[in-house]
Amino acid sequence: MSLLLWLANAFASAVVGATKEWSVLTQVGAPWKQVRVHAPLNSTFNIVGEYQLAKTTRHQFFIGLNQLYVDRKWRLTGDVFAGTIKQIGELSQQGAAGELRLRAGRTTGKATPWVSLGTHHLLLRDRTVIERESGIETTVTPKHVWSLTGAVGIEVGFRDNWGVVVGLDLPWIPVPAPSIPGAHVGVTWSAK
Amino acid sequence: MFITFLMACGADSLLYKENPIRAMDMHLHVGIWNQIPDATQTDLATRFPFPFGLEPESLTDQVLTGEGIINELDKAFLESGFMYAVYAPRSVGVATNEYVISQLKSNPDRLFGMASLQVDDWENQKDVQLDALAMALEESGMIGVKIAHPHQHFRMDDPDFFEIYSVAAEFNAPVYVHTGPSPFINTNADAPYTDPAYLEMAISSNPDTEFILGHLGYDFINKKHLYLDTCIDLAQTYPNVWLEPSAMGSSGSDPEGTNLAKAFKDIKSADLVEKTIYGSDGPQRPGFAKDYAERALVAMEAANYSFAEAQMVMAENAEQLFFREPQQ
Repeated sequence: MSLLLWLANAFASAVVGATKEWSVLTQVGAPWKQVRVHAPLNSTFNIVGEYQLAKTTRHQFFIGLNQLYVDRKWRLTGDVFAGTIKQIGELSQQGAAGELRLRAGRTTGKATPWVSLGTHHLLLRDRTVIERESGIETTVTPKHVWSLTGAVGIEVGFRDNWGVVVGLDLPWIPVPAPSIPGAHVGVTWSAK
Repeated sequence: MFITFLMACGADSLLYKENPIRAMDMHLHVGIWNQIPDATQTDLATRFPFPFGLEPESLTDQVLTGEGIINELDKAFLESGFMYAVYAPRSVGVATNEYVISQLKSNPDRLFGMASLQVDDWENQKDVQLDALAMALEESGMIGVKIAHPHQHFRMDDPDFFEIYSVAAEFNAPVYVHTGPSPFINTNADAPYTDPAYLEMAISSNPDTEFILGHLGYDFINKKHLYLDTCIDLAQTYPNVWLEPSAMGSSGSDPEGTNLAKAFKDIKSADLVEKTIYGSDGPQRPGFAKDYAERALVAMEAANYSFAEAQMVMAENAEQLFFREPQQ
């Protein structure tokens, strides 16, 4: 019974967006780890800061604007993000990145399902070096890498302002190659 | 073909026209990740599905060993595999004869080795390298020689290197030769290094050496057939020439699946099925060996190979060339 009292009605928080208070999501998983902070501007818009880490080598820093579209039994929000990716190791790369994302989640109930879909764009510069007997020729060309991001999961609320999140990550990085799915668990918190 | 694919999903062996088919993979690689040049590491890492490419060493060290190869053979329902030594420090890296020999020990009934040698300082090291090659071929399980002119940067028609073929013949060790431009960094794509026509002098002057024309002269840079006709002509002309269609039919090199089917069709039209040996050039990534075997079977079915013809390609021709008798 006491556990049920703890399980307050969960509501879509930093997972789905359009929060009315400062909200934080922290999650760990394979391969993704993430911290997301929502700062409400008004009843429709949030400023969002997000840091994502894949394995130990791919760092993504985003800042964005989250907008509320629908807020009934289900909440639907959209994000526009801009930032950078820095990837180290054998596939080292660095460039500007952006993402348009839709997030949806149920707003009532003990355990609320959620889903997220996004179109992600990374701008890189490819350097090609051709060595000939006559000399070395170097060309730099821009390269656009398009990926699709996606995740689905459940959030379970505790007390009034805490939640536990579990989710599956299902990206395509880059399109058209589907990536190995990931999974994560996380904690959400909102200021009262 | 679709029905064959569906049946393969629940099968416990490779199937061809709904019947189990025996198969050996005569072209597999082992090695140590940090013995691959940095630029090639990057190139290989891009081939792994995300996120494996982010930290490829942990993945490759599981796959590029004798045990890893056995796992891939088991997943692919392959009876045995040939692991290649490589001495191409400027391009694809180094996997020494000693390393290959050490990996054979994990399953000597199913793993065999193809020796190689370093040619970078041939003027000064020729005798040393030929002796080392001979020593490697004396080891049990080392049954052939692998060389790659575009990776190792020596011409196919340079007679200074023909003693390699004499040494191979002494040990009845077929010589696998990479033909066609290579997709890897720091390789030489010029014709004398890639066009098997330049190998004809070596083939004709070494009639006791068996030559396997690997990749069928495929142009991996432009992803198209380039020297397939030359390979077929040489195999028709010389009894000591064999054909091998590895790598060219992968999803990356042949996304439409048409190039491998064309190769098998042309081989059959030229009456060379009995001189064609299956190899994949795996493992490249987990599951590649199985995927390539299935792609080869689909391509052979598209080229109207009978079960007997497909069986020759997948196992019997290799047994005849390397072992002179069935291995089962």
